[in-house]
Amino acid sequence: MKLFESKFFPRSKSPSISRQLMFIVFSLYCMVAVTVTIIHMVKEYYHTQTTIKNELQSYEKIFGPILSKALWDLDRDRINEVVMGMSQVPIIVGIKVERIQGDSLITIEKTGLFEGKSANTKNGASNKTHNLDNSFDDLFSYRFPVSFEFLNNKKKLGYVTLYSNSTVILNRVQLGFFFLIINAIIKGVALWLIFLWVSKYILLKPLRRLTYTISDLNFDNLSNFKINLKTPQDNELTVIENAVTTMVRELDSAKHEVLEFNKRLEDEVNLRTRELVKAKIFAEKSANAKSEFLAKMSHEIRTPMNGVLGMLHLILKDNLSNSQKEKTLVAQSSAQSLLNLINDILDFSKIDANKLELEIIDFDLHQLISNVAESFAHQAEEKELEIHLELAGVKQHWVKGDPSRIRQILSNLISNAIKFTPQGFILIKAKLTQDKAGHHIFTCIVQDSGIGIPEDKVDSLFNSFTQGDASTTRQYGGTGLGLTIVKKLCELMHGNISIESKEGSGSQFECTLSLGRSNVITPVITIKEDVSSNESTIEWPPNSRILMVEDNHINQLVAKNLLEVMGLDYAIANDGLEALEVLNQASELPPFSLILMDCQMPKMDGYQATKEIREGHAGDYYKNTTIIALTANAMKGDREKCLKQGMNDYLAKPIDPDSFQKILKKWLISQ
Amino acid sequence: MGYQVEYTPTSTADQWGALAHGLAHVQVEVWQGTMSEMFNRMIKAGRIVHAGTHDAKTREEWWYPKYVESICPGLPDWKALKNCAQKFETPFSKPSGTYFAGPWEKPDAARVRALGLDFKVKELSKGDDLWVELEKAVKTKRPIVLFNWTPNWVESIYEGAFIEFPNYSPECETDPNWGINPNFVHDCGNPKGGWLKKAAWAEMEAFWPCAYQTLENINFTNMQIATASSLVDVQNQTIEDAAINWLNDNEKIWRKWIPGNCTP
Repeated sequence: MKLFESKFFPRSKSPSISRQLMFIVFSLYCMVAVTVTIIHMVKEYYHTQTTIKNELQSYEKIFGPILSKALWDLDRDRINEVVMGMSQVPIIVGIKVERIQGDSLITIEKTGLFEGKSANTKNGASNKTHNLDNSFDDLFSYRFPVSFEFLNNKKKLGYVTLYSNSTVILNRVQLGFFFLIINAIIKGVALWLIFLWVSKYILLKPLRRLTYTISDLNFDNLSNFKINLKTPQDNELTVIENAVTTMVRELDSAKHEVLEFNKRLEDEVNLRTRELVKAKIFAEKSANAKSEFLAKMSHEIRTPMNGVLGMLHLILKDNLSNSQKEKTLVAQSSAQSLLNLINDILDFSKIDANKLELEIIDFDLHQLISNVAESFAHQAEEKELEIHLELAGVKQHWVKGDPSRIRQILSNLISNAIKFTPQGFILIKAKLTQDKAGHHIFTCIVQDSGIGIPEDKVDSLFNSFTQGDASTTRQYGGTGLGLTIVKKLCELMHGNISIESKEGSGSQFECTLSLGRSNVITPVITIKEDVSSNESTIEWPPNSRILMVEDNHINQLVAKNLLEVMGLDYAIANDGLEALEVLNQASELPPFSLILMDCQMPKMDGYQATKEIREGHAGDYYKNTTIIALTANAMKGDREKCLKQGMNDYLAKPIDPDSFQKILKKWLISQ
Repeated sequence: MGYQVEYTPTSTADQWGALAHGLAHVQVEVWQGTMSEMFNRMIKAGRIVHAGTHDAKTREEWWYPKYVESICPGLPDWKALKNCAQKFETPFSKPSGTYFAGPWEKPDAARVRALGLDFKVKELSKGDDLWVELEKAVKTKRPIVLFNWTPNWVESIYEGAFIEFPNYSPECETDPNWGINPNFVHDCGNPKGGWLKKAAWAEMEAFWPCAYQTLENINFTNMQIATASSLVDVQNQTIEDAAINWLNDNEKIWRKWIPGNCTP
């Protein structure tokens, strides 16, 4: 296991400590060397100046007597010659000869000074004049008196001033300066080389070994860590070497502890994971069991309800006294409520278990909304409520989605509105827009002038089993699951539902959901069938005979009665096996034109029986006979399963008489 | 006249500076042959003044005693020296002849070279040494040629003559082409009949006008000078004694020199 892959110390490209040290030391040395050299040079300069002054002084002894005699003899030619001679001396750049006349001094000879002023400047001497002017400020001089001894008396005749300048000094010290600088450079270079060598062997190499060793160190090679800086003597680096070694050893032992701990932790995690997996499997099994239970319950509850509703329907067709009819209608209403309740609970359970799956089929949204609104027309009329329907916003009729669930949402909202509106109106306003992705966004507003919802209850309205308040339940009934299911359905269709309400002045529910685009462009014109037409007037094809395969006695009874009412001949088989037997029996009676097949049956279920029939085990005649599934399996997928097994259509139990008649008409008459 | 006079013996070379700087004030014999250059320079510089010329004529030249003519025939013509230079031989110049010169700057060596004479110049440190050498030669009748001048006491004691070199010309000293030797200067003798002047400090007249006027009046002839100098050089009188004697003997002469308004 590698806890950290990266190096402890990345090898940087910044200058090494030795180089930094070199830089600082060498810079300081250079500063000191330059300063010392400059001081030395300045000192040398002034020393040379003094020397030159002394030399000028010595020229007094050489030229003094000759000048003395020349001045004595007023020998201007001689004076000039001497001055010329003196001017040849390299260190003399200018000469001034002054003669004492009375109390004043008269300059009688000038060379190399004050260009253009000296009338006596001649030849070579004048050549120096120009040079001198450039360095006039650097002039320095030595002045001495000229005397002549005559009869043991010294007669002072005048003064001679000898000039020199910095150029002369610089020429003299040039070589000295050169050697000074060379000396400084040699010392500097030598120091640099020595320092380089020493720092390399004492500091740089051990440091490099140290950094390389540390850089190569990682979590995996702590145990193999070895460091040897090879320092010639014990010093701070040796201390570092020892400290690093100790540190790495401690790190290594800590690493082993950590690894040990990790291993224990891992084992524990594995153990826990196994337990969790077990628990998960258990939970999943439980969930599956719950789903199966729900499916079973769905079937088991609907079957008796089928019986109850079917029987009540038949009873109401009998000649009943007013009192009996009234009681029977109440029973029918109660049974219907119970069925709705059961459906709600089942839906809720499915949603809660994430078992609810949506259909995606093409349907006419416009038609659907109209139908739903229309279905509530009677109910609204009874309460003297006006229903306004605005569908101008739905320009595209055909869309893709789950029409039954949309119907459920709308029905729920409209029925609620009717329920909680004692007087006034119900406004249903729908529109269909498009989002950026090209999906349809369906928005439907259901507004009422009802009792409204208190502000503090609005938020909890979509919670399960919640109504406005407890008294609402008492007054208006209902499970309180309706809005919860609506909200869940909206969310499943990538939408939502919101509410605006003011207590006493009504509510407005707005639901939004996403629908797919339909390829159906031409609206299908459907011929509205007259459902309320008299059943007895139906003209069935001659010799229409129906085989009902049903294990449940109540269901048998309901279906039998309905078929009798519709004037259709029939036979009954209690399970799949019996059905095959019936079909295989040669009978004088006409053959069956249609088979109603229950799905869940003992001995042989409906799926298997259909398969057998389609495979010809009931004779070639029945291979293509219409088989309509008749089942309480209301779960999604049932329809597909039935059709897949070879059945032609599907009818959910409890059997709704109208639907039953419709489907029979469809398959018996139109085929 | 009441003036305090100090007589300061000094070298010929230093005298000009002394006169120019006012440390000495009078020089009564300025010889053209040896002093004209310095004299003229000082005059030009205005530091000394010309205080008149003596009647005496001066000459400075190589000179020999009369007996030498028999030893070296053809003298006083200088060409005779070409043939008998060896006869003037001394240990100093052997095998060439010797010319004795005084301590004055003279172009003798240049002349020897220009005229092709087989002589070496022996410079004596004091003027008086010339007379020592002359005396020694005369005693043994040895041939000698030496520097001499006129007026001088010598001419009153020894008979002799100056060597006659080619005549002097200023170009002789500057132009090599001039004269018998086209390669060298100084192929000539010294000027003959040179002047003898008096010089004074430029401000003397202002300070001591009578003394200056008297100086202007002083005038000697060649003979007067020769006689006067012989008092010291021949009769071995001290300079002071010689002066007193000369004054006593020649009062008529010097009385005339003192201006009438300066008489005490």
